[in-house]
Amino acid sequence: MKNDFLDDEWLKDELSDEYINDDDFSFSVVKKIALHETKSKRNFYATLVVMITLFSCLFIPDLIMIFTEHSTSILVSEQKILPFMQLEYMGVFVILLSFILIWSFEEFDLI
Amino acid sequence: MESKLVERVQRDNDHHAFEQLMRQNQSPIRQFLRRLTLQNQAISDELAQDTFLKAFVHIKTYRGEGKFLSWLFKIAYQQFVSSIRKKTEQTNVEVEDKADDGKFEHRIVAEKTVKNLLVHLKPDERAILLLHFSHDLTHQEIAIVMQIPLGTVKTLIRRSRLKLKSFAEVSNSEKTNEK
Repeated sequence: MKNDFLDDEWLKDELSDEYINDDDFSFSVVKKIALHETKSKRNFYATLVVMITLFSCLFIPDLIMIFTEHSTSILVSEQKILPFMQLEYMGVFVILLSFILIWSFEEFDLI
Repeated sequence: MESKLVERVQRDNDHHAFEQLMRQNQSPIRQFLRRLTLQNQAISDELAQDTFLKAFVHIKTYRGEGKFLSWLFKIAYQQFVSSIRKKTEQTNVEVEDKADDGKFEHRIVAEKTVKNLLVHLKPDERAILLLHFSHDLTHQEIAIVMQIPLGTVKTLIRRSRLKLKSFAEVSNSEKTNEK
């Protein structure tokens, strides 16, 4: 082997490699990117679901009660337990509706 | 042309534009990582894929201040260094085994080319020679890629080069003795 380590051009020639290019590599990266994007979306939707659930459980029954003038307080009396339970069902219905909305965003790629 | 493709990816998350960028730049990145991982094709390609994935995810942080390829080299080198740190991949073991441990004379006999002699250098020495001589990066670009001071770049290139030279001399003398 020629020993000319102080010659830049010679060292460049010695260290150069053949050109590499194949579609399989690009395809694998594209797949990884798609997977990454799905995961990121999933996290986004999970966060959204948690936020909507919390919001619904905490505020919807009270909001409905306020608007229907049944109560102005979170503390309900014995007599008002039944309507309050019904309102909880309404809250669950709103949560379900939100899930459907989120699912359609995902399914039809609206975001 | 390249800057327009980058812009398209940054603005529209355009996968096709990124694919084109990947086609243009995959060869130097894969060559670099292959040499760094001592020709372990599976691991180097895995690192290269992660490099491009990371580039895609963080492409908005690329502000066009240097060459796009240099930015990719920086990510690739970081990927390689973190893979060594994790010490979970086979490459790590190989890198440690093959790095200069004072017993190189026993292995050096079969080596004929400069590329094969790279095995005896430490990862950072190997990286700096490849970036400078194989991929034509300037000292300034290397300093950014490897995140080391400019003065260190010059010292490291000189030191690695001399180290390579001394390994080659040992190799040659071994061959002469054999004859």
